[in-house]
Amino acid sequence: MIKTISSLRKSLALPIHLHIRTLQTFSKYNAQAASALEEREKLFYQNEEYADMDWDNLGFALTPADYMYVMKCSKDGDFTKGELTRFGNIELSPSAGVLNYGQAIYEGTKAYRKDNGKLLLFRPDHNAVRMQHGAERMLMPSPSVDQFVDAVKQTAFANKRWVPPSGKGSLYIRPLLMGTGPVLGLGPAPEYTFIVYASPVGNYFKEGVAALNLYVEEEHARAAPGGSGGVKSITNYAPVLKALSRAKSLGYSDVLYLDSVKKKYLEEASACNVFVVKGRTISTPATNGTILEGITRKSVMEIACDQGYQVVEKAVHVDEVMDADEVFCTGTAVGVAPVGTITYQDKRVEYETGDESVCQKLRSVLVGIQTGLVEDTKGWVTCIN
Amino acid sequence: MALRCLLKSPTTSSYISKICGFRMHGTKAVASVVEEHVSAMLRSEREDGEYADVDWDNLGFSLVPTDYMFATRSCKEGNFEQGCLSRYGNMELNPAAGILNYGQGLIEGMKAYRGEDGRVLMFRPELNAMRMKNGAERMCMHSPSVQQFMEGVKQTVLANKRWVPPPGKGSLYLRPLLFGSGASLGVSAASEYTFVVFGSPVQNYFKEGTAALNLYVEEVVPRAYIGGTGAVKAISNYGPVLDAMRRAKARGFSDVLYLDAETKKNIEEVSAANIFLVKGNTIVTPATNGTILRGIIRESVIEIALDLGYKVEERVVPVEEIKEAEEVFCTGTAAGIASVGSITFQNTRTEYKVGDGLVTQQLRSILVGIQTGSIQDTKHWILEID
Repeated sequence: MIKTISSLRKSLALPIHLHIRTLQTFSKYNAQAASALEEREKLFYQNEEYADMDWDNLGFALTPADYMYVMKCSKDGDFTKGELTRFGNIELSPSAGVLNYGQAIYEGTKAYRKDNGKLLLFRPDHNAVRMQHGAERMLMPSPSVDQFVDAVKQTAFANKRWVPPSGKGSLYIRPLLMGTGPVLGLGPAPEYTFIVYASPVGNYFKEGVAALNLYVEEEHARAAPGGSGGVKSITNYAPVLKALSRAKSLGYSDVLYLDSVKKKYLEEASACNVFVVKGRTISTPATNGTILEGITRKSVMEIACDQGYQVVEKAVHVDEVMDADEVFCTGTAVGVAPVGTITYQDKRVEYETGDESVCQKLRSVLVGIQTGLVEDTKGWVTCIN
Repeated sequence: MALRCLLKSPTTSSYISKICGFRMHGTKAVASVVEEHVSAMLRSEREDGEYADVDWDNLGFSLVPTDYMFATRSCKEGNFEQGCLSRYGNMELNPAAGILNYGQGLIEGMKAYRGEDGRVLMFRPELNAMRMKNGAERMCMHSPSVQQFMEGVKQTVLANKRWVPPPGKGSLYLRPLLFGSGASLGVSAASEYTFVVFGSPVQNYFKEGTAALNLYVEEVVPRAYIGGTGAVKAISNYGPVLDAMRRAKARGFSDVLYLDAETKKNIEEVSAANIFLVKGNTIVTPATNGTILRGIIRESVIEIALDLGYKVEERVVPVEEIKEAEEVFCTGTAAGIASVGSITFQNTRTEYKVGDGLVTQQLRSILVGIQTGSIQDTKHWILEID
């Protein structure tokens, strides 16, 4: 059978992945052919070109992948067809809306490499819808769901040599929608630009996969009711840098923010949602406008329900956090990260972590689905090659 | 000849960076020769025409690109290079720049006025410099020193002198902008910052012109919250209120008056201006307690009012007090001192006295008189740019 495949390849002179698709239809009817096909795929995967990176030491710093995607539109217009271009500086007017008034939102998604070399995206349509929702809040036009997903797919595929080998990390993909037209007085920009760029990444936190140490922030809130905390506006991030850098200088991994009104209810960390485990109950703060509705958050909630946990979205009082068995964070960049300790008003509480923890069980299932090791019965994974 | 072509090119910031690059890399002799040529060219351009070709009677508040902008960049240690002018035009930014992805940016707003005697004057620019410095500390940014800020502003005004409107026709609005230009992928402060100054000739900020404003009290969207960035001029304060402004404007209001986020009971400020209530001999304005921007016009008006013998109170102002005021006005660099004709709160519209002979007009006349040099500057608020 292998002889047949290679002679077919030579005769058709097509790229190998198209051959494989053609042959897959034959192999449906021939189990022997199917296993031979898998062998061929693995060989191809081993020969595939990778960017020159130290794949064993990826962190979360920017290593720009070769290509980025750019698409523009006017305030009252529609986004026209975008295009891939080499990653590089973009030109902006000094009076651009994003620079003067913070009119921009972003997204975060990842491309994973399956052990057979296929590239997988995880629920990119959800990022697309979230960006549309955010754009409306920030008075911006947005790409359609199809345009967004297509842009992400094109960016991932064009940069496939930057997707780390299976198990070494992922290609972090950053869609960004900004007001780029000029404004002087406060108002929405007259023109908008949507870009997507990417970078191979490993673990988000410098702790790697070790449990995090969080600090409950009482002075700075991340969001207020009626504000923009519920959308992925760039304006949510710079204001927390002060609290974040202060916590990091004291040795913490990240900050846990409380609600701005009562200063008693848990909201989220700087760039991830948070979950509290007590027995068989997993609680997470309800997304009531101040908290970002994470895609990893909602996926983990569904996985936990499937596994028989009671999953509750509610106002989580900070005292409940200090009384929990386990705490973990979720986010595209951070994955599902165990929390080892939380410090609140000089009191430091430690949590269960490790292989038998609920966090680890949920992480294994999620990562398994994202990387194609676990069957994707929910239609969450899209293969792009 | 080559230099003239260079400077007329629309995106010459990279060229000017090269000139600055000469300086940075130690070829100071070459740099100074080039700078001499640039200065000579700027002088000859200014002499060519006293005023730019603008319809000075119909200026609003939209961007009219001027000739030059100023730029400088910080290095890792946080010090800013000596900046330089380039033709106004696009800048290049890394797509992963801190400002684009995480909103790490601060703005300022200032004006240059042309006095009747032809002098070009600025109003308390050192206060903007210090406010930007304080803002940078809050936003984990490197900032130019007060001196560097002032130098950038002065150079921008001088280079764009022909864009300063004739006396009484408006002013040259200046926008100093400090932003994280270095790349960061995870949420973190940029390692490199860029400071630019650009300008545009303007007249009235509101489309109502000098007519009184109609404000709407917003109860859902706050402008700021305790522990946030309301007290500094961070760009992050503005994007989130665009929606509230749009809704108010769609209903015919000029702008939005925001309440405090915590209790929704006290007035704070308008989208881009502070607010004052007048009753009898007393002028009241919300205290700047961390959520409100400490306006430079606000501060100046408080002092002028005290000089005139008014009682001035900076305190918490419950929203109900808007129903008791006789006059209301807003203050801001862009807005000036703008009369408020009405405020609508929960479907109740309260109207105020407007027009000549009132407190608002009295304060405005003095402020504008000082700013344009027709009233003696006893407080040393004016900086002459020459």
